[in-house]
Amino acid sequence: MMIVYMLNKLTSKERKPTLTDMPHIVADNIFKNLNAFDVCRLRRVATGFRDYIEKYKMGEMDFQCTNLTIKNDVITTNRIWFPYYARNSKFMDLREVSWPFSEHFDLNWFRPRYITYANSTIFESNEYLPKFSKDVWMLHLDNIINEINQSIRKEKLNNICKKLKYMNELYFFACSDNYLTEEELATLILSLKPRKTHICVEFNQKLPCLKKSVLSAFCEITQKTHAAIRICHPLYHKPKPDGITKVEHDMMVESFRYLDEGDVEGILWFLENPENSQMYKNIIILKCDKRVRDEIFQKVLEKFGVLIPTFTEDDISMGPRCISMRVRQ
Amino acid sequence: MTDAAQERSIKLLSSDNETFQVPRNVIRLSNTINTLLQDLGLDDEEDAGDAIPVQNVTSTILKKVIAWCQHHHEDPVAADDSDSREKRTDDISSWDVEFLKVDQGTLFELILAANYLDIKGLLDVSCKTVANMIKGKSPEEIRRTFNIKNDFTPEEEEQIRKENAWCED
Repeated sequence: MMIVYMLNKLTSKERKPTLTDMPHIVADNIFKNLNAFDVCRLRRVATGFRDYIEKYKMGEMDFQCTNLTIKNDVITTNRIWFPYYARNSKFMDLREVSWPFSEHFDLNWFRPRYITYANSTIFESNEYLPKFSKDVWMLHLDNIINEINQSIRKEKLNNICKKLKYMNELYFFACSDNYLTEEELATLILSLKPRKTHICVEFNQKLPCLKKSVLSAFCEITQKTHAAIRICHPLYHKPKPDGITKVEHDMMVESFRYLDEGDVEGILWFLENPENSQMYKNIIILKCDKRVRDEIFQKVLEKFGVLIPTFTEDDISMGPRCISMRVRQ
Repeated sequence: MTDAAQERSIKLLSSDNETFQVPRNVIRLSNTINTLLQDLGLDDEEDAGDAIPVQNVTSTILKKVIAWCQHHHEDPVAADDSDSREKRTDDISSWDVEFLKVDQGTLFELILAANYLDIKGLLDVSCKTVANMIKGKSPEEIRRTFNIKNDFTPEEEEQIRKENAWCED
């Protein structure tokens, strides 16, 4: 009898669980302890891991910089990678997208010491970049941008907002092709921790960033934080020593057409606010075509008479330049 | 929970029908049990009555879970939101390291039990232990460690190898 019982016990004994048996909540708890490198290696283990990682967008915000060199206060690197799962499950080499370090960011303004995601240091720059002293976070928002389902979209936005609360210094990076609604962008901005914060919004196409609601959100947070605001156009970020192509030129012209009266109104509202104009040296670096720029300049001049364009360009086909408007200091 | 309630014991019944008497202030680390007792209005009862069935946990594992709770029940409550803290996996106490020196099957059973019983501390520390078994390992080493079959086709493997080239130089 005992033998039969023991046999039953042995044969009926369930298989011990393994890593691949873990439910999502547990897997998430395990994998959140891994850095981007571990995640990417894990992705190569078996199809189940690959699919899991892509499904839950693990590592999406992690990135790595290597071979950094600094010359004349300009960072250059040929290796900035983004483990990127958004479209077609491909990794995206940041060399192929805009990277604004050398083009628009003087290092006095932007000095990351280390780059980190979810408090896991991906890149520690102490050794190589001793001048850097600020925590900089980088967000890639395509995870939200590509989401069509509104409730999931909102949830993703909320998750990012939650993370934003822990950021000390923020380099706010919305990649080209993005489209956040005014409300979404305002929500993100308002969730920033009220500390000194650097904000850069890259945008393309519809330019929602310039609408009044967004700019007012910028103001609300930056008035608390004494932050600087720069708004740039991504097409300019990639240095183009040989000028831009016809296609790029046409793309820019096309995208600038979206800068409408609402944008102008938003900018003017921003500038009209005395607190804003007294607080910042450089308020906006704005990309726009000559017609719109002149319109804005004219209106600002009419209202303030103090606009100081730091440098301008007459023809956008000349290549990457920016228009910096400096108002009362 | 009143002081009197804390001093009492409750009975837990494992999936293989073994009963364990556990001090209330020890098993308080399990949110699942806490909630159950509160929902049933048994928290302040002198006699919690029948043993609470813990269906998904065998006696071997339940015994270990109770041992962990026994050791940690007086620990200060950890900060709630892990996002605000640095992610570390080298901060496991020596007692926990020894406690978790078990075969892999047992480790994963412990994780599942901690998850089921909602014992955050045990779940975190056991998940960190597994994460440490993954960290720094090549895909092949991970497969060997966890006995995982490589089911990629050669084409898929080549594709993913290219995509991952950045982290494997």
